[in-house]
Amino acid sequence: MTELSPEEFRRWIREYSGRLLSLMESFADGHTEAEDLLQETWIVAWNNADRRHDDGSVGSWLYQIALNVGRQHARKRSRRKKLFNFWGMKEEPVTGSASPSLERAQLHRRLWRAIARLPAVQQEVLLRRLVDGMSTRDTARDINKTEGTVKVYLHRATQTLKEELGDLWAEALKNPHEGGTP
Amino acid sequence: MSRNASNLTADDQAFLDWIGESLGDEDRGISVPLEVRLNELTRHVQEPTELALDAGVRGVVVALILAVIAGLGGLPVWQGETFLMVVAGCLGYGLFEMARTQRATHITEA
Repeated sequence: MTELSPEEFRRWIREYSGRLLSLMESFADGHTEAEDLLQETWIVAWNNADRRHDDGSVGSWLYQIALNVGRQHARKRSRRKKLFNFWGMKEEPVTGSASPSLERAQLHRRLWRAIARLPAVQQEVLLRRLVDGMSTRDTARDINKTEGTVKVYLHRATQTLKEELGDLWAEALKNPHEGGTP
Repeated sequence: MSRNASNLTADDQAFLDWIGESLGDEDRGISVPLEVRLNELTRHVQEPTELALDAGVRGVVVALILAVIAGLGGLPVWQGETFLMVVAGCLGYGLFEMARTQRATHITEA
């Protein structure tokens, strides 16, 4: 584990901010709120930089932080909504620029939220595969588990996601050119 | 944990590929103001002590300027105990500014 230099951190910001912003929009009410969440993500990343692995999995590590920030934000918002409902008030929706495609944004929202609900270790294994493109063997080596265990985590994560996103997956199979190519 | 249960079927693989493709290419790009904000944030999280010291020195200088203006305006700021009180006030204001900046940085980090 090496100390993170400011230059390296700025490089991460340049490289990953666009993609992380897209993730944050799945948890935020509008673009402005997503930008705030992205900023929070970078603060958490900087403060925990000494805990990261030096194994080429920066992307999945940042995505995991972003998912935690998003999930915490969603939880806070849900509590706030309950409070507003208790007092008989309606919370004003936060306005911001709309996503380029509402349908795509909704797909993202569901996918990211489902991934955010996975247990941490399953999430890590899945993100290493999806974000960093890491093989089961490399993931197993980096997280000090056997390949079999990593496969089990991946399998469980896949089954959970399939249960949650079954309708979207069925639709994607029916219309292979819309929302991905199965 | 049985070994069979841990292997992904072709459908599972296709499902994961679909998720990867659905999420993979989405890069929203960030606006220039956000980029500036993030760079500023990097400076904040990197140099909290330096920023606090800057604020402290700025506070002392501002207080001294005010004291000089008050002196030029006819107040007896240069005389005996009053002068000491003015110096203490300037340093105190500097410390206050320093503490305020440090607190703000801390809140940003929290």
